[in-house]
Amino acid sequence: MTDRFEELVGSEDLEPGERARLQRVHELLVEAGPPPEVPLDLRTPPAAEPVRLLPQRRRYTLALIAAALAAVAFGSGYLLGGRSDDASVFRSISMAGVGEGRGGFASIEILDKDEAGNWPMVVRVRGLRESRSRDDYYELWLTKAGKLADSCGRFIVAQGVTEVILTVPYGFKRYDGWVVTHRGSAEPLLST
Amino acid sequence: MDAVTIARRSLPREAEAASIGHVAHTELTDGELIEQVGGGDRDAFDELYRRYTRPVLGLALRRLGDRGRAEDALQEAFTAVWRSARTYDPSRGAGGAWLYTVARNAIVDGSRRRTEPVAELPDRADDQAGPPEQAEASWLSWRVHRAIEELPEPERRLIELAYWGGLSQSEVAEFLDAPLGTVKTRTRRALSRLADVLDGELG
Repeated sequence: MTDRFEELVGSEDLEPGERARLQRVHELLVEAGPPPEVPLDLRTPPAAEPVRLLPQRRRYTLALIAAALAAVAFGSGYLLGGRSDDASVFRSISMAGVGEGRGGFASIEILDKDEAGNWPMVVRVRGLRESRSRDDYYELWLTKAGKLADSCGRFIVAQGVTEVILTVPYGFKRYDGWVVTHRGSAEPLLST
Repeated sequence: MDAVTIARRSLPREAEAASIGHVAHTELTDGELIEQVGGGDRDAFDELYRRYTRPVLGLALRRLGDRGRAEDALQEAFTAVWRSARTYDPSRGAGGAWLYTVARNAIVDGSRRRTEPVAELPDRADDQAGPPEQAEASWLSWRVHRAIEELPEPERRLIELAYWGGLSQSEVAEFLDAPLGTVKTRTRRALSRLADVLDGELG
């Protein structure tokens, strides 16, 4: 655990007290494990006065009732999140490798809606097998109830980090996650 | 008249109110927010939700072991927070601890109402852990996940990549297209910020 700490912060020039303080936090992070990824439809609070409990399958009805409030809250909620360095990023999402994609990683930065109402997004992918040809592509999907729902676009992967810009017209509240698949397969390789 | 006063006076009244309210809620402590929620303040509730969505969902996942049930429990927990916020007494403890108790009870109660067994998952650090150790692990994760929400987005992303993305620091640097030294400096800064938030945890 100490080796990893050294690698992460390069602590040789830290004074001992500060080093111990940061190392304790490092240990807490390792012990706590990753926080869960929150599905898109749960990133806004329940409706104005959350007095009625709805099972998951009825959550979309709740989302519709709260749509006007939620639309404002979604935007302002993210602004409250402190993304001060890049005001054009509406939301960022992390994806990790699953199944055959284990070891892969991706981030999606959803930018502000364009004038036509589309959502541009910057997708950065690392650790997926390099594409051998243009037909050897990967595809980013939005999921609903754990199933592939709508495609956000296709891309091929190069060595190292691949960055692509995709644009979709969808409203994200209708979906509950993101996955990346390989051509011709519904098996997720990266997932939120 | 100083510059701040001039700037404030030049704002339209509506914008000024919105801007002041915005700053006020993000700067309030958890306890202060809960007190405002108790008075029916929806904006305070939204800020509390932003801070605690992931800790509450994490707690529910740990207790229920099922993603769908945990997501339902998240809604139930915040409903419970909204309903019982007026019972919060700051003299009896910090807001985060109160919220943990309310959320935990809501998760367990909701599960019992549906006659589903509560499956407190074994703590990863010790598969043989008993209830006290499991409770301690839940509380620790709660605090850490809550603290992470306080990080600015770039630092939060960096910590997630470095700790749970399975990447080496060089790979994180490559992924973020930033010099390795910058990544290390930012990691230090993020850990230091987390240490400040978690101060009570470090004793």
